[in-house]
Amino acid sequence: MKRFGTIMAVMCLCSSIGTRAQDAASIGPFGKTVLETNLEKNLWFSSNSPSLMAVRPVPSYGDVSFDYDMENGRYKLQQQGDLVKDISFNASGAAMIGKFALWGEFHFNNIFTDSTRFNTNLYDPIESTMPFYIADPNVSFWSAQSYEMQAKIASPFYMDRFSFGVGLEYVTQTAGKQIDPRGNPFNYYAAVTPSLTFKFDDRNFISINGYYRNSYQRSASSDRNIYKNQKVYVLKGLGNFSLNYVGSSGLGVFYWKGNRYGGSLQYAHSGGLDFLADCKVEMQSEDCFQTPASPEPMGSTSQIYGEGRLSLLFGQSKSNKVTVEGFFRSTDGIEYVTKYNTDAGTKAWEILSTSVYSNYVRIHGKLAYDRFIGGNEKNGYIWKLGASARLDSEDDRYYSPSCAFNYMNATVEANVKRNFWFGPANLVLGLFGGYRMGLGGEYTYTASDAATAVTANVWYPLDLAYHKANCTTFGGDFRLGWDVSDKIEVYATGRCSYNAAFLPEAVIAPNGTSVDLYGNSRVLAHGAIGISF
Amino acid sequence: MKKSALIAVALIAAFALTSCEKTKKVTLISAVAQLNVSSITDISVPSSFDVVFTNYDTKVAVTATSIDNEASVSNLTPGIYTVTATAISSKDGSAYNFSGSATNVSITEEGQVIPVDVAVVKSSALIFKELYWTGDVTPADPTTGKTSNYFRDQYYEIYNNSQATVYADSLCICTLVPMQSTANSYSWQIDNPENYVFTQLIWQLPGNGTDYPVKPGESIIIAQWGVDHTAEGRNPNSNLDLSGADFEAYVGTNATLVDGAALNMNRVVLIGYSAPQWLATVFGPAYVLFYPSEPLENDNFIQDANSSSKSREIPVKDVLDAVEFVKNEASVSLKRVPTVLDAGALWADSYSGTSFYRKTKETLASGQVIYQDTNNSTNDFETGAPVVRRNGAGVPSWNTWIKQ
Repeated sequence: MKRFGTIMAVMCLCSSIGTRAQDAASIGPFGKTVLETNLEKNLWFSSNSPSLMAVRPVPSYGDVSFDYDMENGRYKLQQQGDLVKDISFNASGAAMIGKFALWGEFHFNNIFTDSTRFNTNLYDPIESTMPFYIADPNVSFWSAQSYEMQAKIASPFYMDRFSFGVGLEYVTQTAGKQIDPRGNPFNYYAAVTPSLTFKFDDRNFISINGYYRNSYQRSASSDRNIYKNQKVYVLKGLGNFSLNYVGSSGLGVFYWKGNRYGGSLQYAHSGGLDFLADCKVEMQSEDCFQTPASPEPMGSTSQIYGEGRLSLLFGQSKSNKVTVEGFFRSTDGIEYVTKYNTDAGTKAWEILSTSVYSNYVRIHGKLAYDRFIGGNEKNGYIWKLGASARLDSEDDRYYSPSCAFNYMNATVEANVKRNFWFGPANLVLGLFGGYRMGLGGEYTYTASDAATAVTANVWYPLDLAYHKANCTTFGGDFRLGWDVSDKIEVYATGRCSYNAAFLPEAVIAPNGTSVDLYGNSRVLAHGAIGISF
Repeated sequence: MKKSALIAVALIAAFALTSCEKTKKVTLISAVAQLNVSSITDISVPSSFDVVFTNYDTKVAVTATSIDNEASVSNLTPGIYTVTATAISSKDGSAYNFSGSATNVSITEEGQVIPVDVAVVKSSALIFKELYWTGDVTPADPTTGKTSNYFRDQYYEIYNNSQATVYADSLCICTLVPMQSTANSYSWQIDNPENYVFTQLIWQLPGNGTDYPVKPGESIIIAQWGVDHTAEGRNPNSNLDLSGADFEAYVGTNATLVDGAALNMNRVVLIGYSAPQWLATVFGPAYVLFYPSEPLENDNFIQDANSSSKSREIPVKDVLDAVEFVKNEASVSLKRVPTVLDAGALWADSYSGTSFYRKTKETLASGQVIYQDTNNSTNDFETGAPVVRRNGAGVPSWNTWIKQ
């Protein structure tokens, strides 16, 4: 696996830095604004199919930056930190190697998270759809590192008809929980996206791609204080858990193995207007085990995922962009009745029965409009306006005991950017704002421990309040670039946003107790220095 | 080309559908406990039993009352259950505990029948009244600021819960193996292993049969080390002065451990390391009190089928009382004491200073306290700080060294 990662890293860095020098003849206009415009207006690049890049390759570019991100505030999910600091190194680039279009990016993130709860051993429980992991109520801080590499390549059109492409993605992540009970997850996944694009004529294309991802996560738990075993919840979903301990003779190493496969189909039209229809279907199964030497099945998930996107670029200089997108994701939580067979010579966990105990449905829809005003291919735009409307819902159920968690909210957002030039300097100033309206939500928990379960009476009610709340977001950003030569721009960027939620003083938990909400705002800030060439 | 595209789409769809082998949604089921009382011949069987289906994973306990030795329950989530059946009756002034269980039974199908073998034991005169094994934490050292764990004040109080004098001579006490509750249990090479419990260390009280009488309402204290543990250099945080203990587990191989005034027990069975004291595990031991019906051999041990471990067998019929402690509440399903001896289990944190003492059932006109003994430690015991001879239990007359 290390070899694969090395190959990926080399490809990414080659595409972002090295090839730039080899391909000087094809260097086009450069600068972050131009790059932003190029990527936004290149529908084929953002499709699921790498070979569609052959329709209109992204002009060669290279970009390297050091970034700092910070989030602070208590309007958050319980598994998020009150304070999150992320220092990262990022590189991306595109180039033509011969007639092949190549693009790649690399990210290294060093993340410090303070004051999280209800996760002991999973790298990212919020993004994950895995309900089987362990949690504890202790307020903890984490440190984490993440390496992400991605590359895609598209061949030219052979026989003026076929283009082949492939996308590769490789991610390794590791983290450490710094308070007992401690967790030390290591997460990895690698994905490959082979694709084929057929050219009907110079304006119409159809493309198909497959997708396969293999994932593996492993996490050992331990206590620094070996004299005090720590009580943890072995989670099953929606606050249901069985109790166990981390420490001497307690829980073993957890590991998760997953496979995701599927494909996408695209239709693209390039002409007076650009149009892309992209639909994707994927399936995923992921299993959770404990103790590799004597694997004990802890649960599995089975997921089906569907996604569709329509993008349209129209108007003079294709300065208007409309995007309609949505996805549907349904995940079954599968549990087992297991028994340890102690027969001599066997000594293994046996699965006696398998049933779906829970289901988690997530639906997302979005309509967005962006308009580029003024500018040209050498300087991007003078004004950029954007607006979007979004609908998100989650509907989760646990069948026995009967529990439910659901919410729906709608969000509208708008943004504006203005580009200024002062000799070799370029300043972009932006403002944005939005409002999210909660359209209702509910959490019910009927397990036998409903009166005492901390998961059900603290964690889920607080998370539901987060999702249900009406919330306004506003902020601004800037980018200051300086052309140090006709091929190199150095830049600094900054962005700050403020989320203010309209929350009640407290919410009522399933056991009837009142749970105080302890924060209604969150600040997100970003800063970076970089070089674009 | 349109045809090729259609074929590709059809292939993806077919792949998606065939790969989606759907697991069925969970359904609730019913089950029947079928009580087998055929082994009970010398006392009439109660007409009904309290039957409990307990799923320790989901923390759900479903109860039913048996009719004609059958008890039905419904709306069970498929899982691993422990089914217990209990009843109490009396005969000739003595209490009899009827108890049976089927431990860690998988109930996954509708209408599944669970056989439960029921046995009966007469309530013993001598019972565990209080057990203190968790240990405690010493005060911080004034120079280093560090505390340490203290476990030498473990002790056990044995009480005469009957209205007749009994003799403690040759009484045996031990902890069972596995030392801690674990899924990796042993496979002892002996016929009918269910009729035995197993140990690797047995302590026996001295005496020739009538040397150590224990009158009704009196108790004896068995200490790991019969000294004043509140003394400087031991654990000033402790409230345990065990210098008046009746017996101690002293072997005289460690100069630090001075011989207290208490009578020394005999270490009659020892397998493995010869420790200078009797340290019961602080992670949930299981205790047994018994009179051996046969002389105890410190040789010819029983062999485990899967390891080099050995043990000494103790017939269940010899056991007077047993109390099971497990590591924590997640380990209750890993019980190692037969439910006819103890249908429940208890737990506490190591070094938490927690003691377990029996609930009082009644106080007789004579003033003697009678303690609850249903052979279910979950129901019979309470927890708190250790108190030697709680509720004014009497001291045997032969203990002349206790401070009055």
